[in-house]
Amino acid sequence: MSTFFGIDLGTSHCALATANDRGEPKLAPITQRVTASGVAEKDLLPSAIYLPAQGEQTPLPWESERFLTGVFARERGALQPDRLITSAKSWLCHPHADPRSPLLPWGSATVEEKWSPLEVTRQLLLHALEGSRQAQPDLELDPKCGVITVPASFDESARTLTLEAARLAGLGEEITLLEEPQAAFYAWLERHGNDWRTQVSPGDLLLVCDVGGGTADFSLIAVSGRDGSLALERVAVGEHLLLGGDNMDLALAHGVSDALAASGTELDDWQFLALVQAARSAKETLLRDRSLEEVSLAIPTRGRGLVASTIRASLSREQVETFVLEGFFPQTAPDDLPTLRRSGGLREAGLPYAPDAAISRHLARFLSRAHLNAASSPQLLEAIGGAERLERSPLLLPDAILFNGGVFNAPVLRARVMELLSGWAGRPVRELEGAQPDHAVALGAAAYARLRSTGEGVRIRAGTARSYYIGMESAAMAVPGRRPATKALCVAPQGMEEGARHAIEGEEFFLYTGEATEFRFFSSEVRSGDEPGTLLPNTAGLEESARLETTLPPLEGRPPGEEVPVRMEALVSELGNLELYLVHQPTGQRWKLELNVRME
Amino acid sequence: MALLNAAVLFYPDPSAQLGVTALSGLTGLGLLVASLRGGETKAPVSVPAPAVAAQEAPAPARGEAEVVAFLALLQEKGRLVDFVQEEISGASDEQVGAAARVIHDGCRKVINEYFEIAPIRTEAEGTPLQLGEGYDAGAHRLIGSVPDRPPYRGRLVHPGWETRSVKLPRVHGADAEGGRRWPVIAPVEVEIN
Repeated sequence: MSTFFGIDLGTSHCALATANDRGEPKLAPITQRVTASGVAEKDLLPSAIYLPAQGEQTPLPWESERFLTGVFARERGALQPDRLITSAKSWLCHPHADPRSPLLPWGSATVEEKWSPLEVTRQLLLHALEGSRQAQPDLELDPKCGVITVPASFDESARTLTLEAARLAGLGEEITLLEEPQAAFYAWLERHGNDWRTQVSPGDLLLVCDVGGGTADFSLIAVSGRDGSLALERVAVGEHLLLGGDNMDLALAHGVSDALAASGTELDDWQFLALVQAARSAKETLLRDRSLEEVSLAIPTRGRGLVASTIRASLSREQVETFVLEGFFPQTAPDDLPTLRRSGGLREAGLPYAPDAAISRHLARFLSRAHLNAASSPQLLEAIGGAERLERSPLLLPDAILFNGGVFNAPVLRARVMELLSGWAGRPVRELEGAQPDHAVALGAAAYARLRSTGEGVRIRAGTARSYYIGMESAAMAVPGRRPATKALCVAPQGMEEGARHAIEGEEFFLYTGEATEFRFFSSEVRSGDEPGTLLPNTAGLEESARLETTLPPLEGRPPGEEVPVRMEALVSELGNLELYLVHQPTGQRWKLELNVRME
Repeated sequence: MALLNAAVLFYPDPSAQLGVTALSGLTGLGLLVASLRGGETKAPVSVPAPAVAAQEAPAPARGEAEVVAFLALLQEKGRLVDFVQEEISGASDEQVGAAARVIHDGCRKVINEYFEIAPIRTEAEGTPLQLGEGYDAGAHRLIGSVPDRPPYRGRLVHPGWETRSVKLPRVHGADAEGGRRWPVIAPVEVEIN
């Protein structure tokens, strides 16, 4: 019997789930270090790597001396931010950093040997695999039956890097990627069996609203009726948003700490961390139990005296509602869009955290961009049931929501999002019942791994989430002091499915070989109407997703520096990653352009 | 298996049922904590000849190391050892109450993480109860005037606790840590400037 498996490679945690021939996905425990010398099995592996000082820890038999993983690594590292690597995943899609260069721990002055985000990702995958084998020695994981999830907001180069990390972790060439919101949706489908058809009907548009610890990720899935059965199509994905439940806990902790400071009690770093933990559980209690008005918090000191020096504080319902509900889920108008830049002129390098904490406004932006995207393509218009939906509102509003992510364990937050969307839509928006906010991504990935291998069951039609463009120098007369404008040529349209291939017919381009040449790649998630060969006059409104400086070998038997006429071909491999080729037709020689390099 | 070792240390009858031994593991911890409070006279090490060097002492049972590692978790998350070692007679109830929140919150998390604890009986306290022939004597303690043999009629005073699973962390490399017999309960903390 084959074991199908899915790995949720999360920003804050990783999880691995397995499924059998009938589906029935379940989480596989991961053996990991939980204390300085203790090892135990846990369902989640923190996505954290701790770099110990020399001789600080004795490595366990399977560990390296250089680093530690597991619950212990995260807890040990919490007080040693200089030695702790977290959020490596967000660095994989950082717009201005090279994920292959040693950057992490970001800003650390004490660590001599830094790690690249790619290497961190590889080690986390290795540990998830090794840890689950330690916990279940008879577990056989064949990469052909495996799926790794990535955010829907990951662009092609972040996806390619994830695949590369998987390859370096020994997962071979055959592991597949799946977008996280889709995985959450597969978990929901799997859980409901054939019953899911009673919760949705043809013409419905479903929003997957996934707010995790550190990131928020949105997708829209359209339900259509085809030949008497229901079909699903993913019609929009959101942008990468570094905003999540951790921001809420931090906001609450700062509120309590400010109040303590006002009354003369200052907290040290360790106490503040303890306060964040305490605020998190108090928040969960207050959001769960509406009869409580206040929860007491106790913040111990680091020294031995627990009774003598524990600091008392409290968190009230009003504070939680002000900070969490009004701060993160305010009832905003549909045309109230997020502030995208901070007010300061300079931003510290590092991760581009969302400057606006209001998830409501980010949701409005996502739905308005989804509207733009749907309006640009006849195929998407058909998927969402025609233009009528677009005329109702400048936002592409859903009929139902599937919640995912730990934040939505709180009914009051789910209710707020539904209230918000119902208000925007002017009609009630339903919740899809039976979500499993904490584990759905891994479970859904394992379920999808089975569907993919066996060909059974309903699959979401998705394809590439973005259209991709290559920058072309325009043919223009030289003007001193002006660089010719960069035009953008669409090489891969949105929605290309596995195995699809497109060639740009009828046009030839010139390629410089034998000397260093720069290629610029752009993408967009809102231009589904563009076809391969569509030439945009400039790159405004596109995101620059990769820059590649490379020297392509000259044609055989020809001198370097020659301009070679080529045709472009794009194809999506069976594993779902995009590959670009330049083909010299007379000789058939091909150059592959890697989309996975990102440079400042 | 680790959980058996840990439990057997403190349970008089190693042949008892698994569920019961696992439960006694918890009681054992209570005993251990009590012995720490009692000071050095009850220290579990007893080496008759003082001339014997430390490294020649018999290797401690792995079970001991694992119980100490679990105590270390209760200290790390719930500050349990700090609390029982602290002199609290002069502290106000309010101060003790605040400390109790830290202990309650932390120890509860640890215990729920490594044990699956449930009451043995589901009836409410005070419910009349009848125990017939073959009742689970290992899981019931009869108090009051108890006849020689069942059936017994009485009133439920405490519904009992049992654990349905034990997932104690396994200790690795304990002998490598500076030649210590057991893992430390809480390391010395030094802030480097």
